[in-house]
This record gives sequence, structure tokens and C-alpha cells, in this order.
Amino acid sequence: MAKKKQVGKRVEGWKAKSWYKVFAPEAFNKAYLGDTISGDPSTVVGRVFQTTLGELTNDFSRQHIKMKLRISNVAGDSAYTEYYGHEISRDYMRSLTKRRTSRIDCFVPFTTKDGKFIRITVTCFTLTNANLSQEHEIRKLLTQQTLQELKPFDLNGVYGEVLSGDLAKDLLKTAKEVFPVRRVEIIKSKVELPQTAQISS
Amino acid sequence: MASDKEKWGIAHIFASFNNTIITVTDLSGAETVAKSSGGMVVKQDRNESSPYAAMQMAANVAQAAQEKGFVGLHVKVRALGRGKQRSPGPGAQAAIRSLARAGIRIGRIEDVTPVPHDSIRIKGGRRGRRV
Repeated sequence: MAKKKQVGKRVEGWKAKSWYKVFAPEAFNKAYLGDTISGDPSTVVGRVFQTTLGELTNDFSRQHIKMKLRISNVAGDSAYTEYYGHEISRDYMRSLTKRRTSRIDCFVPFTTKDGKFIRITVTCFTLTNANLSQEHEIRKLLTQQTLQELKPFDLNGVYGEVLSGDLAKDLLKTAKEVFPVRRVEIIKSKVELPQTAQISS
Repeated sequence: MASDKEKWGIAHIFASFNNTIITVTDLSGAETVAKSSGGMVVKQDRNESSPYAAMQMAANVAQAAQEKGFVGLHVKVRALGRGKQRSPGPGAQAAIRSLARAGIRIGRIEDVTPVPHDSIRIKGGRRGRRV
């Protein structure tokens, strides 16, 4: 059948390719992530690996955070990654959203100290439905404070703050002053590549 | 995480109501290891989405992956999504089970159906689908 031919052809190309070991950023002690295969080392750069934070840190209480790590440089048969973004898993997000409460999203784009353009999505869950004016106020405060707290850091520092939950805790305190708030989470972050950052800014 | 010698990959399972497509890639998703779809294992078009076809496909794919040294696979299940149904088709479950039966270790199972925040108008028109 047609299938057999295809498999036969693949193996030829497959054997010519070599494996690269992929390691996490230094913040995770360069944990071993897995392997990737390629015929040409230059194509390895830019590949994105997805894992959960629970697996990276061996802490199962943080299993709901999905990390995106992008390969930034290759040395021999090992490849090193840097942060590319994170996201909270869909089922965890679903468990947080409830009826008759407001979910207030704010998008905070900014440039880190080391010149990386990054977008952070902060979400705030209230206890009861908030007025539009209250939503606006909360959004304004959260955006302000996120910028204020994250601006002095470089990319690694930003992720340290975001992933440890310190930032979310501080934001919760601020938001509580305006309206009864149940939860503040940083649900998503995204590091923009230079070319896309230029277009959008 | 996985130890040095054990290679893991990702099995992307796209299960619609008309077909099931399984693609096994490495962890980055950039290199395809093996792939299979309904038409490769059954003759009739309407059987392409059947659980039986999915089983056959998963078994074939599992074998191909094992030959290339993969011991475990993370699973990413995807339904049609966007404006259409958000629950995976009949082939998804069968495929995962069959992968496990073929001796492949299953890691994380994740639903990656594209879900829009707003969504477009669902097809069928104002008066719905008239049969």
C-alpha cells in the first residue's frame, strides 16, 4: 500500500538526523526537558517546548501552569531554552470562572529591562457582579501596579515574580481596596519576538 | 522528568466526526515521527471516524514510533472547535486506549481544541437545520 512506501522513505531521512538534548532555563537548574531531532542545527533554534511548571519544579501543586520555552541557542548536541510564555490550563481557568461574578481581564504590554517585549494578562475574579466603573477602576489599578512592579526586572526576574505568585498576591491586595475580590491570577504571558514586537508597538 | 535514554513525543489526535488524524511528533512538535488517518486503514469513507479505525491507526503509529525509539507520548486531543463542536469525535478515546495497549506510556492528556472567545455565527441559518 501507499503507507509502506512512505514509512520506507522516512527512515532514510530520519537516520540522517541527529538528536539534541533540550534543557530548561537556569531558573530551573537547567532541568532536562527532552529531546528533539533535526538534520540541521540551525533549524533547532526557535522550536518551542511545552511543559507544566509542576514537572519543571517537581511541585505538583503547580501542575496547572503550562510553560512555553523556546530554544535560543545550541551547543554541540545540547540546546538551551529561554522563556517564551506561560498559560494557565483551560480546566483550571474554567474552575475559577463562576456565574454572577465578574471576570476582569487586563492586558499589560511592556518592555523588560533587558529589552524584551512581553505581554501579560492579569485576570481578577470578583465575589459579586461589579459595575462597569468599578471594573474600569480595578483594571486601571492592576495595570498600573503590574507595570510598576515588573518594570525594574529583566526577563528572568519578571518570570520569577509571575510564577512564584508574589505579584498576584500584591495585586489582590490592591484590587481588594476597590471591590471584594476573590482571586487575582496572572493567566497568560507571552514574549514577543523582535519583529512582531515592532509591528505591534 | 523523563530520564536521558527514554525519548518522549507528542501524539496529536484530531478527532472530528468524519475522520481521525493521528500525528506523532517530537516534543517540540516540529518534527513528525509518524502519522496516520482514517483513509489509511478503512475502505469506506463513513468508517474513517469509527473507533475501530482509530484503534488500527493508533496501533500502526505506536509501532512506527517505537521503532524510532519513543517510549512514551503526551497526548493532545483536538476536536473541530472554532465555530463547530467542541467535544472530540468517537475516535479520540479509542486511539488513546489503543496507544496505551500497544505498550506506549501515556503522559499528559490535554484538550487543545481551539475555542474562540466570541465565536462566529453557527451554520444552519436563522431557522436552523431543516432535515
